[in-house]
Amino acid sequence: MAEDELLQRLRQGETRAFAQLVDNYKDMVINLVARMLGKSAEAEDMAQEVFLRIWKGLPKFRGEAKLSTWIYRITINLCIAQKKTARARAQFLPVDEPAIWSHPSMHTTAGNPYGEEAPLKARMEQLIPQMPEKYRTAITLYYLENLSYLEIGEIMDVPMGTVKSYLFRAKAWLRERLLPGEEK
Amino acid sequence: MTREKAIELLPEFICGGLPPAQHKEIAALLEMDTELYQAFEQEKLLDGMLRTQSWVRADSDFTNRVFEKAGLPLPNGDIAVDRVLGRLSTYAPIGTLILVGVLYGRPIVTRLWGLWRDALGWLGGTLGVESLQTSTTFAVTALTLVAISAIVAFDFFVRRDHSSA
Repeated sequence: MAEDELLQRLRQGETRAFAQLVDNYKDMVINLVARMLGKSAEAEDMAQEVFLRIWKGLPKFRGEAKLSTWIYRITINLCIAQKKTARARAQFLPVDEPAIWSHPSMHTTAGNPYGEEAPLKARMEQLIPQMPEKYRTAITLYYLENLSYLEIGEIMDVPMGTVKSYLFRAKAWLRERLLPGEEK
Repeated sequence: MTREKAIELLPEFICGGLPPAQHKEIAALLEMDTELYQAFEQEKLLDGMLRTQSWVRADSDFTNRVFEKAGLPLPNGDIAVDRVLGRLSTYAPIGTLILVGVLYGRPIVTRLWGLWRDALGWLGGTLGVESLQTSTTFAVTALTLVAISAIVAFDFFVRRDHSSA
């Protein structure tokens, strides 16, 4: 179904269209949340919360941006807010954060877990949620969601050059922690 | 180009997003500069790992749980059926065009070719040109110019609409 038609049905409050929207975007949202938060149990809850916000926000969505761009923005904003709350809470409570793929309700499809790079890759996936927010957002949207610099710029509300710079710094940040000693 | 600049451009060099001249320049630098080559190897390794990260999938009950949480009634019917119908509505016009093309392609092409020849004859008569080749060149050039103008105008209006939105 074309995005325009889906939007029109959503604006009319059709729950069936909403079910289709959830079905179309659930993997995209849950992946983004999982990378941004790094906690599987919370990722599932947060992804549900994203869709609730979408449902409530639909009457206000004017369609100036693409539907997916709007969904990405809501997801990122919620994750950032959640991180802030968690940081504030962490001052009082120690939180044990399991890796996202250890949760039974999450099914992952890794490229080649037995390859030489597997331990390095596992370490990298643990590091991504710890990255500074801007870098983490840019790197997740670029590599995991396969978005272009332009699309990422629209979502993050920054120029294309800034997106490139975030990606460059994000990789430098990762390289520093993954390949110490080999750092240029 | 300095090594620092080349290092900065490595991600685009790897994904082939650089202009040919810059691509060539970095390729030549890689042959000579071992430190740059080491950076290139690291960049490739990191890039490869980032592109093949584990993909997390929501479980099949996810949509139902969103509906429960929102307090919405679960829609009747299967979403999978909607998905198939949606795809059908996208591909049906393309399929119809292909079918029409297969069934009536030959008579349509013959008719269009006839029209084209008639138009060239008329054009030759109007311009006072007897050679069919000259009127063809004239017609093709005119049509190309019209097409380019249309694309430029369309692009201009689309950009204007986007920037004013």
